[in-house]
Amino acid sequence: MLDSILTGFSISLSLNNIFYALIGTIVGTVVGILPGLGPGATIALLLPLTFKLNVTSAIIMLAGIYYGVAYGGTLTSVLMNIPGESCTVVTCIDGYQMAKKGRAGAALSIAAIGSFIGSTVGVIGIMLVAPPLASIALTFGAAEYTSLMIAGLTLVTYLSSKSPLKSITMAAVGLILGCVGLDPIEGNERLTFGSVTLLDGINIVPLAMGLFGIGEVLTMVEGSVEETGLVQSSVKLRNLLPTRQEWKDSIGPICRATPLGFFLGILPGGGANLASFISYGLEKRVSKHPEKFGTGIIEGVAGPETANNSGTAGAFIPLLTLGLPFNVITALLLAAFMVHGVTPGPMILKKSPEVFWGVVTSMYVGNFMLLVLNLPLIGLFINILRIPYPILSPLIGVICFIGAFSLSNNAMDIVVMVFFGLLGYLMRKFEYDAAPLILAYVLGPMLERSLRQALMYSNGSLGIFITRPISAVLLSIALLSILSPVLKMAFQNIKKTLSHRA
Amino acid sequence: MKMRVLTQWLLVMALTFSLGATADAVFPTKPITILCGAAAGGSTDLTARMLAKAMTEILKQPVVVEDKPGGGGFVANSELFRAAPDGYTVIVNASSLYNLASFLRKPSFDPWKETPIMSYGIYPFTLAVKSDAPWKTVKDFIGYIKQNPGKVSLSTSNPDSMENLPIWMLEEKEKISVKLVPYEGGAPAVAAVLGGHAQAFTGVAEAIPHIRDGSMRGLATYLGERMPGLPDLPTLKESGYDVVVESRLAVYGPPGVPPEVVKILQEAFRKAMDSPEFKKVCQSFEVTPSFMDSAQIDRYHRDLAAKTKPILIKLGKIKE
Repeated sequence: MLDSILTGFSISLSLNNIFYALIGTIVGTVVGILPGLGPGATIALLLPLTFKLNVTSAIIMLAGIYYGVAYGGTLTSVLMNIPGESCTVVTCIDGYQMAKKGRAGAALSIAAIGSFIGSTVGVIGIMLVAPPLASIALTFGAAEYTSLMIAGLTLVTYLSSKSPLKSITMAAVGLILGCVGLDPIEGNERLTFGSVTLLDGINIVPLAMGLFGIGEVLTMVEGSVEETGLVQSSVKLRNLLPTRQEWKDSIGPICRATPLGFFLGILPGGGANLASFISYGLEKRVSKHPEKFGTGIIEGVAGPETANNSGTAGAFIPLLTLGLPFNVITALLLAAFMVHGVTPGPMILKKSPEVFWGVVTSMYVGNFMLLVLNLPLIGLFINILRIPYPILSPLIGVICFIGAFSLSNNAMDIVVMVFFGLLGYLMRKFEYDAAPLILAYVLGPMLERSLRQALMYSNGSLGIFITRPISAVLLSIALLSILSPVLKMAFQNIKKTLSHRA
Repeated sequence: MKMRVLTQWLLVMALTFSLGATADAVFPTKPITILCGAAAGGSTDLTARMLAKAMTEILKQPVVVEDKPGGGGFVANSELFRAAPDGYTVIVNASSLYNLASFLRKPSFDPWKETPIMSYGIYPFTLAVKSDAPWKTVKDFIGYIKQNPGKVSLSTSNPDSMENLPIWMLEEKEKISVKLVPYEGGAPAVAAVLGGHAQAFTGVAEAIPHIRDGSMRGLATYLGERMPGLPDLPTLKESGYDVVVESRLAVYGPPGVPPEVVKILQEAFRKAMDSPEFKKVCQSFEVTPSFMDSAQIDRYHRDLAAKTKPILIKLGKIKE
């Protein structure tokens, strides 16, 4: 084992491969910053260019793009309220509010450090437990997935910093939006209104860019012209480092998000996206002051930003050990492997160990580079916040428009984004939160698919959710999550009556 | 007067030259775009990219692939219908557009009006089970399904994709019924078989690495001939079932591309198929390179559609 790791490092630390890792991580950061241009499209474009490289260098570079993206996407989420990538959508919620308070530096630093911890621990996970974990992930069938999604959805109802009724309303809207497109089992069209674009459903990127980015621009327009920038110039932007309290508040979320993201990354249909959303919900659920989420607190950034990176690392496990890519980007990496004549799967450790260990150890190298690249950049990028509103708001608008179009060269995505921009504006005016909407929108389709699959397997019997142990445990957690406030109240009442008697 | 003669003369000269230019100009005189309605980096996109690269040298004009993913190819095809029928914009489509999608989705355009140009390959199709499963052949498996009606589940990548068609055909011919459980793509569908949730997987290339390394067993391919990458895997026909379904990668143009331009494009694509990079990409995605000319691919798709329609009607997916 140690031998293999050392051999791996001897490959990944060769001058050649350090260079490719550097290119990959820089491209990844840039792609992350640019909304719309996703890692998938980038890797697809660069894939033919890597044909001449040896397989290890090619994968080291392409993988660098994949995990670099989650670092870069944070920048625009925090500074401009535009999610650079789908896995940093949730960071907009608290990250941007922190920026408004002059704490953008802290948010970005914690995000970069959390990302580094999440990735590094994730990579250790790949080295130590990849094969057994992969087989556990396979036992995770439709029933288990359904129960996991139900447990995830119970978090939605707790996402209310405003009234629970508004929160549930938004969750319902999110579920409906998740239904748009072809239904996952029969393939019938739903809510497409004859639009070809909507056949694939509503893409999360224009949805989130509308709700957050465009919504923000429309709100900015209301402000008076004299306002200088997002942050008053009196606020010291140089104060980049998190305060002692912020460090303390971040430790818990980072420690929880690392294993959570890692495991969700391994699951079929999981990945960095799901990981970031569930982590946000979880942090709010376990927080002592859930009402502060959405107002710009560090826990809302630290958790999801860690989870999306450990989720990215986790997604490498089914790819490398089973040859099964569960998301678009790992599918492209699989293509890259295959074009170079290496088939990832159970045999990769025997047939091409140098590729496996070279790529895995390169992730340490790459993540270290990302940390070193990102921390100094924060000081530079943060100046965006000094740009006066009258210049910044059209700029955000333009970036959103380009981002939405470049997603799949389709002008309809801009229409979708503008629609949700108007909705986002109205939601702000009437004080509705975007968080429950987005979480329900992400979980809803997965819940529907797995629920219907499970019922197909069981011939319609609901017993499948209770007789399978993992599913039963997850459902109990969901039940506890719903009942806990009631139980808490009951418990306090009993305590009160008891103390009265005493 | 003199001036008028001169003008007339110039006009005649100009007309002659411009006419001559049109007649002599060899297609192509400007860059050609190949639209791709599938996701970037997949087998459709990459095979097209390799052909485009080779064609750039053959035609001495840049040939570029433009990805317009969405709506199962509908976005890209709508784009094709907006392009001029001059051969400078073509598209790579899978057979399912002319077969399943044109019946099930009611596209706003008529795919049968597109100009067929050629076909360059066949997607891999396999029926595979987990390696510890008791069934060694399709006969074993179908026998088991007959003894356990309504209990056997097959995982698939999509509710209405081409790899479900041979299963529907088998259900009808053999009077059996299975549960076809759709997943979000081939990888989770293979995972469902490896995890023991479904008994078999019907799909494209995703199972092939697992068949090779021994974690899955291939029962058959639905293609007309064995796949070059898996020469030991029999076809359904060889296994005693008269079912052949091939999904082809086909190049089409907008309605009304002139026949001489079709001919030039068809030959350029045929020559590009010799490129080593194209062959390499085909090999890694298990795509079988196979040429069909304009008339052949048109006939192939019309036959396939005629065979599919009654099945879809019987399944209740479409009305007469």
